Amino acid sequence: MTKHPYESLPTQAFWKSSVAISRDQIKGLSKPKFRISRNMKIATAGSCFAQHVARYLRAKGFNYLDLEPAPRWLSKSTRHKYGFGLFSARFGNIYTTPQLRQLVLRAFGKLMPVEQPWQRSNRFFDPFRPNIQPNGYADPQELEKDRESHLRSVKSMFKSADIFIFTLGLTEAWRAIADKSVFPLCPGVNGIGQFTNETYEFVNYTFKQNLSELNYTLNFLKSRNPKLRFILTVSPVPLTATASGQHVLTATTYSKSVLRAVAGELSSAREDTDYFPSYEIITGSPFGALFESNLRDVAREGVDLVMRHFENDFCDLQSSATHTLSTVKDEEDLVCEERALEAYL
Amino acid sequence: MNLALVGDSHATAILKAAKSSQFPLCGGSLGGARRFLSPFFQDENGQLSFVPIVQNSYEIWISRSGERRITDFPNGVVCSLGMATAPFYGDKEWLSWTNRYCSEDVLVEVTSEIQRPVLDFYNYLLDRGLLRAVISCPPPQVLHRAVKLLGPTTVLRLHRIMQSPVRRMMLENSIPIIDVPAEDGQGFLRPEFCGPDTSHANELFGTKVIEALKAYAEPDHQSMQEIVPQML
Repeated sequence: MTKHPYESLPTQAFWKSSVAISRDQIKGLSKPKFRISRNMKIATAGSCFAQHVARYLRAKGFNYLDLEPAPRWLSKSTRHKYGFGLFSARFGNIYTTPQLRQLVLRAFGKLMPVEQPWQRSNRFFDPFRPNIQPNGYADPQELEKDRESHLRSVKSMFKSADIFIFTLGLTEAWRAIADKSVFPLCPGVNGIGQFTNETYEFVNYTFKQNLSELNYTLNFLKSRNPKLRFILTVSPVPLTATASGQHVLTATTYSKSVLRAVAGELSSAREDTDYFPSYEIITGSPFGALFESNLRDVAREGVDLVMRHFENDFCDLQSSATHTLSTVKDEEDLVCEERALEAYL
Repeated sequence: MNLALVGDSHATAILKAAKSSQFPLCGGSLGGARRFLSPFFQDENGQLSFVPIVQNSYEIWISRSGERRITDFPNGVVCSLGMATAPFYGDKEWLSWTNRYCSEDVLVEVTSEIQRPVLDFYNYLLDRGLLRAVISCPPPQVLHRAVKLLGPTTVLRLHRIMQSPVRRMMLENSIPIIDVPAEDGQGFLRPEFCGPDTSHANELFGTKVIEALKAYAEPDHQSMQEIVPQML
């Protein structure tokens, strides 16, 4: 009989033996090029789902970077309201790859968007993180002071991190026609800013564009911090709404497929980049229903499952006897700008 | 003695001045300002009591007040709780902010949370009609080490915002705040008012507070007029 390559493949290569089994027995979903140890400085950014990763790493006692901690007296709910402690700096959710590139370039002084502060009544909002101050700023000068301080922290974050975990969220965005600046929220939503067709345009970034944006960003960061390595994930959280003209379900599938392919491409092509399949774990049929009743928010059980796989595949927890997954409390709501669109149903 | 002072460590200079000018003010300090940053009092069956460390000071306060309690002053009390700001701007937390900006709204959230126990106490006094006036503590001294570490603008900003929850509440309830004009051009306590350390004022500052209290007895200050004429 002729020998062929499938004869020597490991169990995990076969659906029947590695997936069509009990959910708890599914393992080895990632083959990371490196593992995370306690002494590594880790930074995170991305869409809402990335907040789970941040909470996990913090609760597990990893060296999680927080360059903009809250004043110590603030309660947890108030901290989150002002974007403290959600990520490694107060950038809010970063949904798209152009948004990440923009943040990085702004932090390193390589980009100065022309977009002026957005307004609601007599308060001023930062277009690049419109929810960071729930009631905005008293004047543009204060906004600028806070922004400068923030961008200094972001720069420090990228310069000092050993690992940057980025969760890709969306392909759809709104941007300024003038200089193509991308925003996390459509101007006008929640009454912040003023939308006009002459000033802003919708864009649904393609595979090629996302690949180019993210690859550029990773290269740029690497040039500033050669030791930096990357873990990419794709958020399993569906779009709240789409402006693409498609049904929101097909738009979600398109968006996530593109992002998954980009993450796959970069993790294959780059020695410094890995992919963690949080998207597959939550949306994959073998794992069962892991969404809340709104079919959008990931259930606690799903988050635990994702983080268990992350821990097994990526984390070196030899010195973690005092930290177990069950100690990770994750009861607060995620802060998600995109959810604001639900108000327009 | 018809008027009682419910204060923190800044009460000492005011009481000294009251004694020197034979102004009939009793009561005094319930302890350092830090004691009032966490819940410090309770009302059980109409009986006002404090957490043990404050209660000890309150026992002394009672004996200084002719064995009368805060609730035993039908004409009410003047109070300085929540107006001392040195523990706030002098907190080591701010050392990690020397290269960062803390927005006005975040600071307002911080001070609202920190001052909650004091505001609860003021609500207690207001509900019972016991609060006549609030006395502002002295502004920061330029020699306080926080000024060197954080810069004058930051210290004065933290001082202002720390007092703002109490000031807002008093404004809403039409309770006068006694502000002694003791600042220099920048906003720091003038040298002639500086006390034994870089946080407290001296008796001269206390004298100015007493003068202001007396001024409230003038005919256009109805609320204090009810109390002070009987004392002078």
